[in-house]
This record gives sequence, C-alpha cells and structure tokens, in this order.
Amino acid sequence: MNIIIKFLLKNIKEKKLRTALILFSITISAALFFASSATTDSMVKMYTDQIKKFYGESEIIIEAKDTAPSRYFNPTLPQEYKSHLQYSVGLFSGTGIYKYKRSGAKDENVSINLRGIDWKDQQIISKVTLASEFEVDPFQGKKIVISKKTADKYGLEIGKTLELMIEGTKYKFLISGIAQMTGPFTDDGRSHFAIVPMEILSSIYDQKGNVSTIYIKTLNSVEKQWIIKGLTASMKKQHVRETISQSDLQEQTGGVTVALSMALVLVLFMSVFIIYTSFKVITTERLPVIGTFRSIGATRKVTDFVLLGESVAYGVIGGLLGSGLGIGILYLIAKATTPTWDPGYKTSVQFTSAQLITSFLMAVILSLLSSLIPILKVSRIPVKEIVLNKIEKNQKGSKIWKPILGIIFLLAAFFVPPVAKGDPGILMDTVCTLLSIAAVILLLPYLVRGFVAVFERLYIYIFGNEGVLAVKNLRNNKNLLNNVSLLAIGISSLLMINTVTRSSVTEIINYFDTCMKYQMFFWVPEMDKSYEPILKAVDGIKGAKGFYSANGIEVKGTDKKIDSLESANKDFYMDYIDITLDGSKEATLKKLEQLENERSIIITGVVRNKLGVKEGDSITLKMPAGDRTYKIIAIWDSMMMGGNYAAIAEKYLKQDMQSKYYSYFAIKSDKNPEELLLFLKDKFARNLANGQTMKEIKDMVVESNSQIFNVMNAFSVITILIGVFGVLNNLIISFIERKRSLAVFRSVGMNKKQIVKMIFIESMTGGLIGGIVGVAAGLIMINIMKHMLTQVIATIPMNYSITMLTISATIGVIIMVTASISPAMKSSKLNIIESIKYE
Amino acid sequence: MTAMIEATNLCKTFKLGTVDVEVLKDIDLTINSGEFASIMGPSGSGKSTLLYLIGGLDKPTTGSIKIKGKELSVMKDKEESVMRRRDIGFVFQFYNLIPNLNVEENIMLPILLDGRKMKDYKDKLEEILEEVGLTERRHHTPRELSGGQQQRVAIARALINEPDIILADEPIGNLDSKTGTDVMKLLQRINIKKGKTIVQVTHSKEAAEYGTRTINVRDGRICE
Ligand SMILES: Nc1ncnc2c1ncn2[C@@H]1O[C@H](COP(=O)(O)OP(=O)(O)O)[C@@H](O)[C@H]1O
Ligand SMILES: [Mg+2]
Repeated sequence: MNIIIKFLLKNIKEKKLRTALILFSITISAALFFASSATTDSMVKMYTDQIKKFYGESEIIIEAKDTAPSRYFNPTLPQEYKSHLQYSVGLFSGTGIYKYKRSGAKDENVSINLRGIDWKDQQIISKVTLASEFEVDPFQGKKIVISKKTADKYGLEIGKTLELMIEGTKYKFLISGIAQMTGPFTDDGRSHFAIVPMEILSSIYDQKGNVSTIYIKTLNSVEKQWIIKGLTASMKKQHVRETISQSDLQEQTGGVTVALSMALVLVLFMSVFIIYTSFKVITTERLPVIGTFRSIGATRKVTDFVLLGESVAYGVIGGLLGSGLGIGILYLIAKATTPTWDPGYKTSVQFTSAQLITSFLMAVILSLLSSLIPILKVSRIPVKEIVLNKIEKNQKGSKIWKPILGIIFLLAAFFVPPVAKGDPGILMDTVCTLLSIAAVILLLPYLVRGFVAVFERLYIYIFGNEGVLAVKNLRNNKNLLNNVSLLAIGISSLLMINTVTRSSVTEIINYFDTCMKYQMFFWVPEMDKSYEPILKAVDGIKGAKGFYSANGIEVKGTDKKIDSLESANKDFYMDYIDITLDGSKEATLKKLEQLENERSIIITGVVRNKLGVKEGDSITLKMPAGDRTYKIIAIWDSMMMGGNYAAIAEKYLKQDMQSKYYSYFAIKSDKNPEELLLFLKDKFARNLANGQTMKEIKDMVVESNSQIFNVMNAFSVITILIGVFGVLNNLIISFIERKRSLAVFRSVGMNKKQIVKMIFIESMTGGLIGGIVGVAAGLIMINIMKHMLTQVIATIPMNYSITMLTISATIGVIIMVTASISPAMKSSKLNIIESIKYE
Repeated sequence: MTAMIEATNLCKTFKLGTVDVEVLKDIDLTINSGEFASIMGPSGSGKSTLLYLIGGLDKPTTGSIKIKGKELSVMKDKEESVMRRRDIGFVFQFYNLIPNLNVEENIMLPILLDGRKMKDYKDKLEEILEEVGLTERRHHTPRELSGGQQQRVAIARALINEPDIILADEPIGNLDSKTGTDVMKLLQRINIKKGKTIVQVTHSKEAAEYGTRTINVRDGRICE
C-alpha cells in the first residue's frame, strides 16, 4: 500500500504542469462557486446596510398613505402593542429652501430635506457623529444640524445662522452642529439633509404634536408580522410596512443571482472537462503499473482507492485554495456591484462558514465525479489484458452512441428553449446550454474530420506541402480534439456572455433613446392640470403632460407586484412613449381607446411571464379603493421602467388609486435638458420642485447594469483562461509525445523553418476549427439565452456582427498559435539523435 | 572511383554531467561510390555516432566530413536539410515511421519536404512499392504493419528521392532472421542494381557479408 502511494505522489510531482492545471481549474471553480453563492448574501448585506443608515435597527415604518388628506398624523399607537416594542420614534419631515448667494451669478435655491426629531430619539434609531458643535444641547428652538457636505459646499460655519424658507416664510436657524457623513447624513449624491428640533418644525407647519413617520423596533422580532397586521388594521390612513422586505431584497439581487449562476455553470463545465480528460491520461499512464501492482496481488479495491484518492487529493487542495481565492473574488464582485452613483453604498462582503464548507465539498465532489468514469473504466479492465497490453484494441472502435447522443442533445438545444416556459423553463434552458456544449464535444471528432478533409484540399494551394503534412498530422489526433473542445467551450461562453450583455446594454440605451419620447421627468408636490400651461410657457419646453403613476401594486392571489403602474391617456400617450401593439399604430391607438371603455390593462412581457397570464385573462389589483379586476387587452414587449410595467386608463388609475395629483410631468424639450432642469428646479423651488433628465436615469441604469455585466464577462474570461491553460498543457504533452516524430521529420530532411511552419499551421488550423466550432456553439447558446431572457426579463434582440463572430473565431487562432510558440521553438532546436533513439 | 564520404580527424566527445566522454577518437574514413560498407564493433563503441555524424544529424567536436565533396560543417541548416533529403537516405533500427501517416505518405515524405508534388512521383512510388513488396499495404498505417514491413517502408522512404547514399543503423537488429535476410537482400539489390553507396551499422557477421567492405570500430577508433 505504502509503495503504491509513494509511486502516485512521485507521479503527481513529476507532472507538475498537469497537476497545476487540475488544481487551477478546481481552485477557480471552487472560488467562483463560493463567490457567486456568497454574492447574493453580500448584496443583501450591502442593501440592508444602506437602508439601516436611515432606519437604523428599525423594523417597521409607518407613513401616511398617498391617499391620506395630509402627510402628517397623530403618533399615538394602540395601547395593546406598546408593550411589545423596544421603541417607537416619531419624526417630522419638511423642506426648507436656502438662498445661496453667489457673487456675480444668479442666486441658487438649494432645497434641504429637514428632519424634525428629538435629539435623543435620533440617536436611538441611528447615531449622528458631530464634527463640530455649538450649543447643540439642549436641542430646542431654532437650531439646526447640517451635514459637512452642505457646510463645505456653501461655506456655512458653526455658530452662524442659516436662513431657510419654509412654507413661504423665512426662519433664521442657529447652526449648532455639523455632522459627519454617516448615519442619516450619509451622502446620497443628490440632496441635502439637516436635522432640526421636532417641535419647531411641526409648529412651523402648524402640525404640533403630529409626525410624518414613525420608526418602530419590536422587542421580539418574531412578532413583527403580527404587529404590522394589527397596526394596519387600526391605522386606516397610514401605511405600515417593513423597513426591509423580502421581496425588496429579491428584487435587488434576483438578476445578479441568475446571471452569476449561468456564468458559473460554464466555468464548472470547463473544469469538469479538464479534470475528465486529465484523468483519462492519468489512468492510461498508470495502467501498466496498476497492472503490475495487481498482478503481484493488489486488489482492485486498492488500486481504485489510490486513483480515487488522487482525485480527492486534487479536490481537497483545490477546495482549500479555492475558498481562499473565493473570498478575494467575492470582494472584487462586491466592489464591482457596489452602486457608485450613490456614495451611501459601502462595499462589504458577507459569507458564512457553511458557504465556505459547501464550496470546499463542491471542489472535492467536482474532482471525484469528473474523474470517476475514467477510473471505473480502468478498474473494469481485467489484469490479464493490462499486462498483455491488449487494451488499445478495446478502445479503438468508435462508439455509435456518441454521435447519436450528440445529435439528440443538439436537437434538444434547438427545439426545447422556444417552448420552455416559466420557472421550470429557466432550468430547462440552463440544462440546454450544457447540452449544447456536450453535443459539440460528442460530435467533435466528426466535425474535425470534415474540417480536416476541407483544409487538406485548400492547404496544398495556400501553404504547400508543409500545409498538407500539418493537416495530416491533425487526423485522428486526440490532442487536437481536446484543444478544440477547450477552445470551443471557452469561445462559446465568451461570445454568448459578451453578446447577451452587450445586447442588453444596447437594449437599455435603445429604450431610453427611442422608447421615451420626452427628455425629463419633473414633479412638485400636488401638481394638477394647472401646471400644464405654466410649464408649456417656459422657454425651451415643447410639450408637457401629466402622468399618474403608482408603484408596487400587489396582484391578488399571487405574491407578485407590478412595479410601475401608469396612466395611459389615449390622447397623448403615444406622443410621449413609443409603443406599438399588434404591429401597427392604428391597432395601438385602438387598444389605448379600449382602455377607457372598461377596466382593462396593458402589461409588458415581463409582467406576463411573472404572473403567468395571457391576453384575455383578468388580474385583480389591490388598490386603495379596494380590489379591482382588470382585463389584459395587450402584451407589450418592452423594457419600459425596467420591464415590470403596466398601463391603465387615466380615469381608472385616478379612481382606483384615489390619486388627486399627477405623479410627474413628462417634458419634451429642444434645449439642453440638464440646463432646463436646473432652471425649472430653481423657478419652482418654492414649490419644492424636483426632476430627473432621461439621460441621468439612463446613465444610472446603464451603469448599474454594466457592473454586473462586467462580472459576467470576467467569468467568461476566466473560462477562456482555464481553457488557455488547458491548451498549453495539451500542447506540451503533445510536444513530448511527438518529439520522436519531429526528429524523424528532421532526419529525412525537414529543415528548421519547415518544422516551425508545420507546427504553426497545425496550431492555426486547430485554433481555427476551435474558433469556428466555438462560434457555432456560441450562436446556439445565444439563441437559448434569448429564450431564457424572454422568460426572466424581456425579449432582447441579440445583436452580434460578423466582425464579432470573426474576432471570436480569431481568438481561437491567436490562443493556439501563441500557445504553440514555445513548442515550435523547442521543436526546431530539438536534438535529433537524442529524440530518435529509444532510451 | 569517386569518394562519396570523406571523414578526416573526426572526434566526438559527449558531456555526461561534468565528465567528457570521448566516443570517437581521430577517425579517418573514406567510402567510395558504389561501396556497401558494414561498420561493426561492440555495443557502445561509437558506430551509431559515426553514422549520425556522416548523415549530418549531429556535429563532430572536431574534424571534417565531406559528402560528395562538400564540407558539412560549413552548411547552413537549410543546405544540410536539402542534403539529407536529396543525397542521403536514412534507415533506423526502430524504423522511425511517422505513426499518423500511411505507408504511401511516409514514403513520400522526402518529396513533400523538397516542395515537390506527390502526383509527379506516382510512377516512382509504384516502382518502389513494387521493389519493397508493399503495393498491397500502401494505405495502411505503420501500426498495422509487422516489423519487417515497417523496415521496408523505411527503406522505400530512403530510396524515393534517389539519393546516392543510404545510411542504415542496424536495419535488421529488430527483425527475426527470415525477415532480416529479406531486408539484407533488398539492400544488396539496391547496391548492385542501382549502384547506391550504402553504409550500414550491424552486429551480425551474416549481415556484414552482404556488403563489400567491413569497417571495425573499437573504442572509438577504426581498425580495419
Ligand atoms: N547523446 C549522447 N550523450 C551522451 N553520450 C552518448 C550520446 N550518444 C551516445 N553516447 C555514448 O557514446 C557511446 C557510443 O554510443 P553509440 O554510438 O550509440 O554506440 P553503438 O556503437 O552501440 O552504436 C556510448 O557510450 C553512449 O553512451
Ligand atoms: Mg548503435
């Protein structure tokens, strides 16, 4: 037993490169497995941290409903719940305008979000750290704590006064604190925030004793849902909700999780392939010795155990290394997915020891399973055959089941995705992606044979006799098959992920550039029709229309929500939003008219998939006026508002949502939107105006998406990297195996140049075949992804250019040719005699 | 009689770690056109080394080799390779065929390397296949052939380009005696009918008897 293990250890050490390759692929797989499973947790933590900055440890938040007559309400809670709470803190929100006088320029109206709160209450929900203070205690009267950012930007100093316009009246506040940018003062990159005593703010608003928000932390969080239910029942005009809800978290992380698992699947596949092929080589290499060991009395169990032990050893080492590397990668992913537009987000990583252990076990299982087939195959060979060296004949005949299975897989990859629907459809699509690669690998020997036959004819004209020899060397060449497989897996992943991510970005940009026919959103509280002529009169505004909208409308009988429900006024909806239903403008207009006749709704493809409904079905929405049933009259394939969008007639939205005011004005302009928005904000500052240009939103959406896309692309680059490493290893093995043949070529008169030429033609051809097959597989996978995305998000037209396909195929050539530089040089410097002699 | 191969003051030293092993010591040897020379001697005496030096597969430490009057040491890789494919045919003890090429392709290698077209040598190929008796096996790969057949492919490969010199390192060392005799007869026929100069390394007295001259090597020196 000891001697067998010694022999194995020696072998492992001897084949350094192969050992490194196996360990590398296992390590990377474990690391990525760990990273992607922990990424969701980290994102949850990041999101929660961000929210906690404002809410602290509060679990429940109570605010007035949109439909309530006033934002402010009496904070008295029903007695029966009080004893179940750790705290309940009321606060009073308002807005003040600070006129910033700039020398030589127009005054700037700066709007500051004011929070009225008792100082000690604020410290209970989330701590404020003061950079400097002046008579902040007692926090009473017209005192204000501003942020360091506000102070720095407008040159405000501690102990000085700050004049604010609130509700049309000017008030002088004493700046008694300048706060660090933490807790509630955390910078969101856009607005200014300040804290004033609760009493003073509520009395300015003439709402003494009332609050706008209540934050609650329970004594026992198990009771949270019960308390929410109870409070909801007794506080009719207020909305009682969790500060962080499960579905919010889902929304935040869902896309990333799906994307990462898809990318992970490809990396794992690559590793399985590398381990499997390596073990095929390992077992053949060890065969004679295994035969010898068995012939001198080692049982089959012992030799199996030793081979399996080797694979477990790789798994254990790779698993350990991978866990370490995984933490690093996790940090990088976290960094890449941290929203940069909002400085409030801090990169943070979050993982559990269970995840580390799972990744470690995954590495061991991956290694074990991938090596199992070759090991069992060897185990089944009778000792006699090994000793008599008869096995080669057994393996020769090509198996008929392989191409048949390959074709079945290929057909499945083509025909299953278009009909796979819903959640099981996503799983089926993932399986189909794997099947398509498996099909390529199974069919590869036949494909390569075809390619070689073609190249053989071509090369005589292009490269002369060296070309012909090169192609002949590629016939029935196992090494080539391996390299082509590796390249094909890598290139197809790269092409697929690249195409999908680029197409998605293009689609997002496209949506903003073409679908939205207006340039900015603009809103002030309590906007009605009277604003329309006022806005239209502004220089540079070509059109302005008010829209009603509601967010997060629950669909009865499901746990799903419609993120964005908007009013579609038949008179102008099509002027502001590029919508086409049933293929024509007329049909679209008809549908919009139909919205007015009865409660009916237009939903996007995303909503349809989410709810599992079809045109003609009815859905019931939970609305302030009660549950209302709407008939689906059209499905709109659009990324509108991120895709989760529906439109109903203006009159029904007003009725059922009990909306009195517009949510925003859509503004068309032929002027620079940024300047116009600044102008409008300033002009309507008294009314607390706000807005966002389409470009701002677009940039934000593109950026938030491109980060996760970067991560996916990084995965595909890693897949290629593992592939490159595999190719390198194969080429070196092949060089060692071919040394003799190369020396023979030399001995019959091949010169150094010819050898180099031949080897480069070989690798170039191999690379080209790998590239072409990879592109073909990539196209199949892109098709699958298209169907999958239709299920998850929306129909995104996949755009890839001939250039991109050519580049992908060329990557194969570049990898192979580069990887063969060293073997080619070595071949030309080969000592003929040493290589030709039998040692 | 013209000298085909002229070696003068030939020395070859191998470095084995820090030790220099002097394998060939000051060898002078001339082989004339049409000769069939057999180099004999105990194993390890330097016979193969001598043959490889003559064929330009390795460089002498000192001394000169002239093939058909041309000095080998001044040749560039390209010239040397041309010489190997046009003027010299090599036959090895272990055949050394390219495993993934079939019989025809293996034989045609020197033609291909010379940048000539296979189809121009159809007749020539037929003739040589006939000569070595492998017409039926032309599409087989080496691993489907017996040792004797493989050696005959190697000889055919050495002949295809009509070189003046054939160098054979223990051509029958790996064959049974019946097959060995066939191969020796083939070489003899080539020597007599085609007038090729042949130098073979051999262990066996019988094999040497097919030749016209025997050269004995002992301890790196020639003692004829
Ligand atoms: N490449 C080499 N490096 C070191 N020693 C060598 C090399 N080739 C041959 N030798 C040594 O040179 C001697 C002669 O070898 P060789 O010419 O093959 O003998 P033989 O007469 O059996 O053909 C042997 O001792 C051998 O070990
Ligand atoms: Mg020898």
